[in-house]
Amino acid sequence: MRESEAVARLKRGDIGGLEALVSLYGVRAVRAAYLICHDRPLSEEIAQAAFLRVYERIEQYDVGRPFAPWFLRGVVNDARKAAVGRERRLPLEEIGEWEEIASDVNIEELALAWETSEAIEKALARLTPGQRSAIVLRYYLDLSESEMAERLAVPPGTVKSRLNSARHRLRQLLPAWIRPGRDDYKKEDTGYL
Amino acid sequence: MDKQVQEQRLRRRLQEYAKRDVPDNLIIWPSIYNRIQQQASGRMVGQPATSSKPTMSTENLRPPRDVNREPLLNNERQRRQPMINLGLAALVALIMAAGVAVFTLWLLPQREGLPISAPGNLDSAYPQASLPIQQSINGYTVNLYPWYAADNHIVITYTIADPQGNNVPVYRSYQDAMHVYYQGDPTGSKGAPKLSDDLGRVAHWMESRFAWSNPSQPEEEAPVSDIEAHMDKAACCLNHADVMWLDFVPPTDGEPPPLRNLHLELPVFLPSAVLTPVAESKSTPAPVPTLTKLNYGDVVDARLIFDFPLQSDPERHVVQLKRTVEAAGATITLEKVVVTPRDTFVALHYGDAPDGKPYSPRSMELTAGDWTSGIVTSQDGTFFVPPTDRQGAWVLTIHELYKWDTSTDPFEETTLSGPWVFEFTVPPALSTTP
Repeated sequence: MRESEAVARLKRGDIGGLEALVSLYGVRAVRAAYLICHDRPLSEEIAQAAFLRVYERIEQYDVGRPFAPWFLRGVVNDARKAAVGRERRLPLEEIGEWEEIASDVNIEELALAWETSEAIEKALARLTPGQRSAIVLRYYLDLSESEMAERLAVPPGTVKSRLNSARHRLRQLLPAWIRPGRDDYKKEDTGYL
Repeated sequence: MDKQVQEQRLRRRLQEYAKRDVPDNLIIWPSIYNRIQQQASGRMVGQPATSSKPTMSTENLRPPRDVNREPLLNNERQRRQPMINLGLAALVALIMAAGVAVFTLWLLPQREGLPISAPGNLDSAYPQASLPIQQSINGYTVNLYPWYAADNHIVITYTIADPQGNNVPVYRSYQDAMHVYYQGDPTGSKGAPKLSDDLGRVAHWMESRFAWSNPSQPEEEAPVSDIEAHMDKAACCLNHADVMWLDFVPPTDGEPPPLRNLHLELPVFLPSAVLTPVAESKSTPAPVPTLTKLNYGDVVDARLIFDFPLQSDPERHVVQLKRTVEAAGATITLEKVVVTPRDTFVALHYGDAPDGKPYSPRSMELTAGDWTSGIVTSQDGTFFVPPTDRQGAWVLTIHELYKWDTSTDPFEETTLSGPWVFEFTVPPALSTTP
């Protein structure tokens, strides 16, 4: 079933439409949330809650707009909020992980390990939830900066600034991989990865 | 390395990382479906056809516990086996913390219920924010704010202020062999909140509807919560950061008198783990943050008791109907209509169907005087009828029923087409049964 058909069915009150949307975007939603929260149960919870919200508020959805960016932006927002709340009181398990990072992992080793997904996991963990959200919207969900600005209802300059700070932080964390290109030598901190 | 290549690599790594921990075959639909059903069952709909009781007991309202966690944890267990030791260490640490808290709290008075005068009309009184009922424990102050009550719902809000007067959120640990998960949940080792009345009747706590607000961070949106819609008049409480909300459903068997003198047992659980980054350095790369350890002295794990009176909503009235309509071989009984200042609730019981299986409504429509809901997918029977149309000739139409067979893959859907039509009169509030 295509997205538009699923939305139309759901708008008619057919829960099968929701099931189709879940099968189309469920995994992607959980993954997007996971990249921000680093917590699988919480990510599933966020995705489920987002679909429940779709079910309850489908009347408010404008069929003239693509569903996926509208929906996934909500997921990212929820994940960011959850991550903010969660990191204000850090879980014990994460304390363990952070301590491990703090004591055992040399930043150069982390950089050399960039070729593994573990390296990006640890690098993302050092970003703020807002920075992670920006990275996920731009590079995982492939929204352009102008789309991000529209979806987040913030000025384009704000999006650019968030992305720049996130990329700058990644560059600090992963210097061996993110070695500046030739242009970067001319303009420091341009926000290039 | 140019920018494009860098961005491509970042995209690829993000996908690999996400895919590593969230597999392609992840299935979340059953959990979502269960939650939809659970919400519906909280309002008497979707009741099994085999039930002989016309109304739902509180047992039936109990949501499935963590149904969506089990497959996940198995999967996690396979992937992160080395984390088991860490999880066990965290578990031991938490038990020690609870022990310290219990010892500390032993000397403190735990019951300081302070009755206050209850508002006459809860809906209109709610935004007025009368003074909270307060109790203190270990330097923290628990403020219990006025409550919202309508048929089938009692919402209680509270805040917990730390010794500096800042509201703090509540987090609770979920433990398994590997992890300690912290989520918004007031229960610590002292169990779940419990609301009862002086007749010993216990309301059911809607565990999944625990929520809290966080307006202290302007960039964050309003709290996402199932009960957000119920709290639109709660201007008093939403002005505070970290307001916790508890949602209870009173027992609905028969027509008991409303809950009046309430007795709330409120767990208060405050683990404090604080991330303290070292002073930012200008060196590159930036220094790794350090952590302070858990401050066990800050842990509060107690069960406070509040006693307070609650008047029933004087504008609430119930129209008993008990009308049964049959179509497509299935019967639906409209038990009653409950009108409160907040909303209108039609209590439906889904009876026998041709295959003997429970069905749920797919769509329904309510016409009340000049007002109509249109066809809505809401399954809980709640409508927001304007005050001017809360009496007179009403028509409730259920258009279609459906059920899913979750034992098949993909789920198999069966529908029954109606309509089931109920025409009835809602008398003015004064002439109805309170």
